[in-house]
Amino acid sequence: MASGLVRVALAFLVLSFALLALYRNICWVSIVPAAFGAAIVFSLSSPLLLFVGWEIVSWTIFFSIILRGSSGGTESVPVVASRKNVVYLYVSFAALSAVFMLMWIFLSHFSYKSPYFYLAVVASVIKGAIIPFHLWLVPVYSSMDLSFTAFNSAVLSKLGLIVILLPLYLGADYSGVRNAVESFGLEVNFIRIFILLSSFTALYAAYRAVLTEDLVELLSYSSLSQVGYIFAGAFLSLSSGKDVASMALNGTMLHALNHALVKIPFFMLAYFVERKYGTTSLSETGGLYKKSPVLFFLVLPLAISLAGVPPAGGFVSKWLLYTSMLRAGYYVSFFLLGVAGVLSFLYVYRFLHSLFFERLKKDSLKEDDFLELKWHFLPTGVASVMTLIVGVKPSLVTNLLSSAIPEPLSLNVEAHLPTGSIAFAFLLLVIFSAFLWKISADHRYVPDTDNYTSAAVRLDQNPEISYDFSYGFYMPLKRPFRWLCYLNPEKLYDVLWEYLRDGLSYLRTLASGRFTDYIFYISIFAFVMLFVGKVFNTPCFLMIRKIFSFVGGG
Amino acid sequence: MSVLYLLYAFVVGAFLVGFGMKISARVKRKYGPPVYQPLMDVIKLLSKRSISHGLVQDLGVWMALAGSALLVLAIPVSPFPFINLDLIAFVYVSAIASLGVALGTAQVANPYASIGMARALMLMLGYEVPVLLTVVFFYFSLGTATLADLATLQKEGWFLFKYPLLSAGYYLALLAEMGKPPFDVVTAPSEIASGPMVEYGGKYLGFLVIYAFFHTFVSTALFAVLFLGGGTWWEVLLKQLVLYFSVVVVASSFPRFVSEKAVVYQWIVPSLFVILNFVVVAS
Repeated sequence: MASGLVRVALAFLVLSFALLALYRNICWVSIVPAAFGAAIVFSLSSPLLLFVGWEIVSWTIFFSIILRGSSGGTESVPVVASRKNVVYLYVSFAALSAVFMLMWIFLSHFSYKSPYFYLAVVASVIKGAIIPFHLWLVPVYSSMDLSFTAFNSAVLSKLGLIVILLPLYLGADYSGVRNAVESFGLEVNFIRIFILLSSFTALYAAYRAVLTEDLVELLSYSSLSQVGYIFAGAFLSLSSGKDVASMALNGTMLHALNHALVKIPFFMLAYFVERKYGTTSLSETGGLYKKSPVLFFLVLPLAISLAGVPPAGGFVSKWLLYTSMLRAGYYVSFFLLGVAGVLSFLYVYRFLHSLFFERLKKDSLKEDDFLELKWHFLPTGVASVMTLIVGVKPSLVTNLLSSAIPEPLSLNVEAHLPTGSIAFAFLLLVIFSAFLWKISADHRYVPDTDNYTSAAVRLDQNPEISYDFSYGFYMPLKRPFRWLCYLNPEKLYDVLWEYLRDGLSYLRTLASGRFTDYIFYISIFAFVMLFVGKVFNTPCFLMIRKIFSFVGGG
Repeated sequence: MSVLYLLYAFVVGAFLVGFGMKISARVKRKYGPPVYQPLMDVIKLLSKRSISHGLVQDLGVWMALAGSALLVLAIPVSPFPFINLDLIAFVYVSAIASLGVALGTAQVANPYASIGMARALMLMLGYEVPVLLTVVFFYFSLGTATLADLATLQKEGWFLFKYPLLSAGYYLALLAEMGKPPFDVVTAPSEIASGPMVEYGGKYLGFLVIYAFFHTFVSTALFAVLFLGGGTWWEVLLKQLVLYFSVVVVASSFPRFVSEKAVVYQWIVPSLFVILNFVVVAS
C-alpha cells in the first residue's frame, strides 16, 4: 500500500510538472530542484531522506525569492528590503519545521514507527501553513516568480499532507498525535485540535481572499484556504471509523488533485497579467475576455471547481469532506468549512469579473502581447477536462488512486452522490434552454458600452472614463466582520513579540559578566530539567540527555 | 415524467408569482393584475426582439434556467421522479443558477449590474449560515440530511411543530433566499434599477422570469419537504400556497434592509433560532 502511495504521489508530481511545462517563460531554475526535492519526499524512502528532500525544497524557495530581485538591480530599496524580510520570515518558519523534523528523526532512530511521530506532524502543520503558522505563505507566494508559485501551490503545499497520512501506510505510531502530553498527565485529543485549526484556516484565508484587492494575494489566500480543507480531511481520515475515514481520505486526495489542476492555470494567468499589465491590482486589470474568449471558456470549469459547484470536481471533493465531518460529529469544523465554501464562491466571481470583464481604462497593450495567451489553451484545457471528469465520473479517478488507498478505505463515490445524473440532467437542460433561446424572437449583439448608464457619459467616445464597479467589490463585508480582526492570528505574534521583548530585556539584566553568576544559572536550569515533575520523557529532555552523554562520551 | 414535472413546476411557479402579485396589491388596497399575468408576460417577452452584450450573457441565461430546472428535479414530490440529494448537495447545485446569473451580469459593463451581483453574493453569505446550521441540526438529531429521508421521517409529525425554532430560523433564511423584502436589496428597483437584471430585456428577461418561476417553486417546495412533511403533488401544492401567502404578506409589510444589515441580520436572528433549537433538543 505504501508503494501505491509513492506511485500515486510521484504521478501527481509528474502531472503537475508536465502541465506547467506546457507554458512559456516558466522559472526552470527554481522548479526543477524543487521538483527533485518533492520527488525525494514523495518516495518515502527513509525519514532522513525525507528531511533532505524537505530542506532542498525550502532552500529552493529561499533562493527563488532572492533571485527574483537580482535582475539588473532595478528594484527600489524598499522593495529589496521587503523581499529580504520575506526571506527572513520564511527562514524562521522553515527552521522551526526543520527543528521538529530533526527531533523526530533523532529520537525515533530513523524509523517511521516510533512514538515521536507527532513531532513530524507538527512539522507538517508548519509546512502546510495551518494557523498559527500561516504568516509566511502569502508574502512568499507574492515574492517569487509566479510560475514557481504555481508549482509551489500545486505540489509543494502537499508535502506535509503525505507525512500526515503515514500512519495509514507505514504503520507510523500516531497515538502520540492523539495525545502528545500524556507524560504531563493530560488528555488532549490533538487530532481534534488540528482539524479545528485546519477548518479555521480555510475560513480565515477565504475571508481574506474575498476582501483583498490584489490578484496574487487572492490566489494565495485561496491556496491557503484549500490547504486547510485538505489537512482537515487528512486528520479526519486518521481519527475516525472506517466509513468516515474512507470518505475523508477519498475527499482529501480528490481535493488535492482538484486544487493542483486549478491553481497551476490560475497562477500562470496571474503571471501573464503581471508581466503584460505591470500590475496585479484587481481594479486595474480586465479585458481578457475580449482578447481571448476561448481562454475564458477554458478557465470557467476550473473556476466552477474552485467554487465547489457541480458538475466540476471541486463539488465532489468538498461534498465528501463535508459529509465525513458531519458523520464523524465534527459539527463546528463542518460549519467553518461550509462558510469557507460560500466565501470561495464570492472570491471566484471576483476573480472572473476583474480579470475577464472589467473594462481596461487604457488599453495600450499590443496584439502581440496576447499571442502568449495561446500557450495557455492546451494546459488549461487539459486541466478543465480532468476536473470535469472528476466531477462527472469520480470513480474513474478513485480507481486510478486505488493503489494508494488501503482496501478497507476504498469508496464508490457514485453510490453516495449521483454525479452522473446531475451532470447528464444539467447538460440536457442547457441544451433545451439553448434551443428555446434559439426559437424565441431574434436578437442582436451590441457592445458592452451600449448600456443603460452609458448615455450619460458616452463610454464609447470616452473609454478612459472609469465607470466600472471594481474597487471595494465586497467592502460592505468589512464592517460586519470587523470583530474578526480581533481574532486576527497575526496579532498573536504581536502579543508574543511584546512578551518576548519584555522578557529579553529582563534577561539582558542577567548578563552580569561574572562567571560565577552564569554557573549558578546553568545549575538552576539543569536542576529543573533533571529533577522537576514528569519531564523525564519529553523530547526536549531526551535531546539534552543525549547531548550530555555524547559530550561526556558515555 | 421528468418533463411533466418541469412543466408542472413551471405552471405552479407562474401561478404562485401571479397569486403573490394579487395578494401584494390587495395588501396595498389595489386591485392587482390577473393571476395568469406572469404567464402572459413570459409569452410576450419571449416574442420580443432583444439585445445581448455577448455570448457569456447568452450562456448565463441558459445556465440560470437549466440550474433552476435541475433543482426542481431534486425535490421529492410524489409521483414525480427525482434526483436523490442531501441538503448539502442541494445547496451547491443551487449555486449553478446563481452562477449563470452572475456570468451574464459580468459581461455587461453596467455598474448597477455589478453592484447588484456583489449584493447578491454577500446576501448569499448571510442566508447560507442558518442553512448550514440547519444541516448540522438534522445530522445531530436525525443522522441524515437527505431530502427524501427527511420527508419520510415526518409521517408522525411535521418538523414545523416538532422543531418550531428551527422552522422559524429557516423561514427567515427563505425570505432572503427568495429575495423578498426586507431582503430585496439585490434588485432594489429604486436604487440600482433592478441590479443584475438591468441589462436584460426581451427574451433574456423572459428567461429570467422563467428562472424566477422555478426558483419560487423550488424554494417553497423545499420548505414544504423539510418542515411540512412533503407528500403528493397536491399536498405540496397546498402547502406551497399557504407558505407563499405568508411570504408575500411579510414582504408587503416591511421596508428594505441595507446590504450589510441584511447579512448581519441573517447571521444573528435565524441562526439564534436554530441554535436555541439545538439547546432544546440537546437538553
